[in-house]
Amino acid sequence: MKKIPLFTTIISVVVVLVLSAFVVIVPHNANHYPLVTELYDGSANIVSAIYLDFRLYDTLFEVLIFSIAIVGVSMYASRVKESGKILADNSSLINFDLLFLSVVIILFGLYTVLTGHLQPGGAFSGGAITASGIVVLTMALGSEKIHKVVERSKLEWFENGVIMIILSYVMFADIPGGFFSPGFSIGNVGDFLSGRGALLLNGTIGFKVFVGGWLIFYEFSKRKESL
Amino acid sequence: MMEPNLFLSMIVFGIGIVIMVLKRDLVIKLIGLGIVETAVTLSFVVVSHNGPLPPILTLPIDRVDPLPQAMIITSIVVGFAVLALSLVFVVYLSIVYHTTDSYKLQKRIKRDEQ
Repeated sequence: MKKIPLFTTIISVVVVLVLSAFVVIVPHNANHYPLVTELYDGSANIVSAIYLDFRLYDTLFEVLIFSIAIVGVSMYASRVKESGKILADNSSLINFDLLFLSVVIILFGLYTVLTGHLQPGGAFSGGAITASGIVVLTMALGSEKIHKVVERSKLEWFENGVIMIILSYVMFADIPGGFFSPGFSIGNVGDFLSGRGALLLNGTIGFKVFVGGWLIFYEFSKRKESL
Repeated sequence: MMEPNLFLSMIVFGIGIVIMVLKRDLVIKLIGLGIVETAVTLSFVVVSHNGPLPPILTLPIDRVDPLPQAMIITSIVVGFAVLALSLVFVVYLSIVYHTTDSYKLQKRIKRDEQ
């Protein structure tokens, strides 16, 4: 019974390895997107220009998938009994250090989100960094205080409201004959206010990923004894 | 000429596939899925390598191809979402059937259906 999957797995892995041994990567002309970015978008970060401008539909549906996953996590986690909580450490020095570290991480995440169109980084990585800052903050203050914030502020409503902003951007900013958001200025490459809607979209998607990561952490940490 | 980095990423891919197929524990299967995703990311990075510099417009022209990197951002976020969702399913299953072993789960689900 167990030998058949073993045999087929080994065969398929060997086939993949043999095929990959024959792949040749030729140095290619990768300057189409940089040229178009310089002309039509104005972001210094070409990857950001691609996923926030030329391929915005990809990003839109990616954000929708993320949002659906968070709804699924909240729904199925509500069927599991709540158990266990994260307590703050007794040592005030460790608590202070964790608090300091979390503030630094959150600020760095915000910086990564806001300068996503100028340098490596962007909405998704910045949102993930900020959410991990919240994890450290929970370790510093204990889960009761942080979980109260989630419950009182109704974060999932904000998280879904942000989708409306992105949707309306996609719907109203697409004027025939151009790429997305001709209403926003291209600006000079390297300026903070450049890259058309990059700042708006980075901010909204970064906030969404941040809240999504926080909600996933909230649902799991509330039930950490159930695992 | 063979591309050694791509070959290495495919070896990582194979390790993930072997873990996913052969291990019976659902959590370990998910770890294997994570390894496969990492291998795919790695192979895209290898394919996009077209120069030593990152894809920033202000840098000289020896930049990597930006398109695979933009694609892989999608893959990473979707992978994260799928991982979180499947972990919740594993927690729920382990509470209902008291195991994360896939063979035992199959047996217990069959027994419940009868």
